Amino acid sequence: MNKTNQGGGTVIIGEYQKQYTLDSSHVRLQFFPHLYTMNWDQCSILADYFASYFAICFPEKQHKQLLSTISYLVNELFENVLKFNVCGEVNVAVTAKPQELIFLLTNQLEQSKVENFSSLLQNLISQDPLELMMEKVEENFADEASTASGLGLLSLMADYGATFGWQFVDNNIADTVTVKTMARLPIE
Amino acid sequence: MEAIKTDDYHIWYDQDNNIVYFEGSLRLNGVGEYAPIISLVDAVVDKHPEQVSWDLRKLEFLNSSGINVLYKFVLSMRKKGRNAMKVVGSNTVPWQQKSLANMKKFLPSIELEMLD
Repeated sequence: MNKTNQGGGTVIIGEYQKQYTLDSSHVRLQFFPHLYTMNWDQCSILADYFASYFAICFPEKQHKQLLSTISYLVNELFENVLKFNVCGEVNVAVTAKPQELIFLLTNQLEQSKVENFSSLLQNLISQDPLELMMEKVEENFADEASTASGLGLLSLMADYGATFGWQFVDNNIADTVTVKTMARLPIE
Repeated sequence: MEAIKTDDYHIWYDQDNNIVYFEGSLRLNGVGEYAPIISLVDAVVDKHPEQVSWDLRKLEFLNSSGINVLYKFVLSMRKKGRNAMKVVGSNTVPWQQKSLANMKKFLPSIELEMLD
């Protein structure tokens, strides 16, 4: 189990590399969904933007693969932002390295949601992602009332080899926690 | 209804050849928004239970909710004991290269053909 308490109200789950920050990124976008509502279709528009922007940082023979993969990853991250309870601004930053792309998504979560969310994430990183994904699909099938798939991060880990880490930082001035999600996508 | 067409995607049933075609980009919001597509696919199965065939080659994008719908459909085939299912995918569509083979884990009898 990869969970560490960093002190000062900071907890890390999974593979979170603190040297990558919003300020060290190639591109950073900031959104204010609590002020200007984001809609579902904007997720794919943003995803396609990031995909087009970063695919051409790599050799041409990789473009088609990268356009699809980056778009899938960013779309899933943004869909999660819209689906789950988010309050306050959202930042997305991307850094391109020769062998990988690093995505850092920062958003605010209500304190009351943190325990369930962090348990879910710990479960996610503590098992084989393919096995967990298979179990999740069987579970979704058995539960006719289920509406969310829960497959986004799992499929990225199982099918794309992406790794994830999260940093939770307590905000002192509000009943919220800042959640930083780091996704690292290996470039084939 | 044997076809659903929007600016982003086109799902249609070729009755002569008993094949459901999926084309375009499907990034809908959860099971609810996929319901009309699920209904179309289910209706075809009810009409022609002997063989289910899908052609996904022109489905360029699918989000995880859509992948969940595909996998669950395969599980429903397994539950009904209908093992004759063929899926045609494309090696040139990256998400299909990554994810389609997982369907065989749910229903090993699936005939999965990946074309260039």
